[in-house]
Amino acid sequence: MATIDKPAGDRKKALDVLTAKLDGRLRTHLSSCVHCGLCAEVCHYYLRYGDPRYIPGNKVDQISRIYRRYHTALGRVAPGWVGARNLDDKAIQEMVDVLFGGCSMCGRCSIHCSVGVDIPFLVRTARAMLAEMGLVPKGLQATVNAAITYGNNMAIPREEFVDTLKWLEEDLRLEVGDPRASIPLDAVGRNILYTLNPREPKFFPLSIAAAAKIYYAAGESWTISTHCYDVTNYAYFSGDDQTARELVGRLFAEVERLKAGKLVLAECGHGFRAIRWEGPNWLRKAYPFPVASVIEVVADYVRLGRIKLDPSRNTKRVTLHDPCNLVRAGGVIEEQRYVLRKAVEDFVEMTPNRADNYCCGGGGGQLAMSEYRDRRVDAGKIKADQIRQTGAKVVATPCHNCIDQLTELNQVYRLQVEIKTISEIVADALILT
Amino acid sequence: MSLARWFLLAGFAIFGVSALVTVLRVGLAGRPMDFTQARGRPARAVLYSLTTAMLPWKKESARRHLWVYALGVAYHAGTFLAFIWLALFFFGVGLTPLLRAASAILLTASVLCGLVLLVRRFAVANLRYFSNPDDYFANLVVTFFQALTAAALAGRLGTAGLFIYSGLLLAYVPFGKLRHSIYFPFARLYLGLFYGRRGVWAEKGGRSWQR
Repeated sequence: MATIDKPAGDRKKALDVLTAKLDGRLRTHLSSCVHCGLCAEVCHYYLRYGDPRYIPGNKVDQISRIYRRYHTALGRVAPGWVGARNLDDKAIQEMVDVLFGGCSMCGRCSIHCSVGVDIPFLVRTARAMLAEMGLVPKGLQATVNAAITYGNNMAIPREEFVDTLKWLEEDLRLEVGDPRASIPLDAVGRNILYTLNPREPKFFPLSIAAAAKIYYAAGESWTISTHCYDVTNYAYFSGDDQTARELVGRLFAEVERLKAGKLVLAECGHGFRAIRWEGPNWLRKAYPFPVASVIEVVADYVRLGRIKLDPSRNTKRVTLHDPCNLVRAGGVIEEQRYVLRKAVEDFVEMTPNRADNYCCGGGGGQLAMSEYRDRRVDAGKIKADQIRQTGAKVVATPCHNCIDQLTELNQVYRLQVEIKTISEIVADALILT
Repeated sequence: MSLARWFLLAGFAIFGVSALVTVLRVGLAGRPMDFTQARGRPARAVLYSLTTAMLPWKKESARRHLWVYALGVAYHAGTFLAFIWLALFFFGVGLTPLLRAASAILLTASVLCGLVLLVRRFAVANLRYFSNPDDYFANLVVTFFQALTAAALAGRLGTAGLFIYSGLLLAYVPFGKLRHSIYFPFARLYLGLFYGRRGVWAEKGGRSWQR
């Protein structure tokens, strides 16, 4: 790793970020860790490496020691006594390595913290300080820049995107045998504005086809914007609030421009968290329209009888990976289980699951940070072992980030499973009347 | 009122004012606005966060380290017991010899728990890695407070010494690691609000977004 040499002005800016963010919630979590260390084995990084740097309590300390130094009485007069530390180059280097390179912000540690410290919240605050100093790892920053510059994080030109959707629309018509079946683009006044993860048009068009088939079967009034459709928000992971706000603001404006009834988010864990749970607070206003994950929408279609599923079309054993930001930090916990039980013959849970589930290792922007690739794949062994123990042949997960990581784990750890989105499994089970 | 009592009162005043300022700063004035539409029931989740969420079968960190968890619970219970006796001594409430003896025994056990936890912090390399002097000191001064209270209960120490020591301890609480005693309920509150608002805690089954 390159040596960090930040001028005092940059460090002051980072400290100003911390000061500006110091509300009651942040002060509380910065002041509460008791260094009990019981959180160690809850973290997949620590479990894999046994390295004390990855103990969640140490991650908390990366920022709380800075807070103690500049914002507490004892930290100012006797920093060594309370473990307070200047924001010097060595401290910054450790922060980058541990908080970007050794944490997927999955939040498993918070659920199981003895005190109740919101650790990913502190990690993101520290990342915001690092972002202010221009220290976001290159790949992650490039992803954020692409989203701002091109309107999607994969820099897909609009013409290419439209061509892909037109081709998928033709396929949909052939598959359902209905020339009126469509993927409506930029339609005004529809019930749903559907977003996509740019990885879908680029690498996984079948997941768009699956969602389109489900909407067709449900008789839904929906549309996709060709101007603003990216569900991801990697600025959430980079800690850049201003860009995160800009990206959410664009989607908000697009819903209003197209006069859509609801904003429905594609299968993307952090996108759901960023838009559904962080977005209103970045924008400092409540959304005047509902926001939901497509998983919630599909679950309602099944409940209300708007779509019918035949589980005998999915006979292989299926297990479910819970994306951290959709489940533990998003609250969409049972819908995907409900849907899978209706759509497959043999569904089996991983252990642990739901809010206790292990991160796949791909969260926190890890997939975009090639410098930490080996750690990401190593730490993913915990998830690979979980999958193997289920005996499943298919791993379903409602998150494209997780799909990418699980695909890599599948190859590295020779799991010999298929990795699918929930929509793909549902589309396969659809009974079209 | 004796000088020792005044000393204790002064320490308590420092603690009390600091605690009040903290409550105002992190709990009332400092609570951030939340513009999201709640999915779950935050109040129920806060209640859960402050109660059963901390039980070992809900908390993997406790399950994996059951004996450390038990030592920690006993040690904190001992601290509460010592503060109750400090108040009783201050107001001159004696209670029965049996209760005093039982409390002295419980506090002695708690002192042992505190010492084991202190030794653990010295002995476990991973704990030493991110411990600072105040982590050791905090354990030591609270353990000593419990020991002094036990000695006072056993009639081996006059209350004047206990009052003076406790005054110093209380004055120190807001400044070091021991301030977690003030922040702890707020940490549970904020965590409960976080998971409650999102429908992760205190929910049975999925709730439809349309309802």
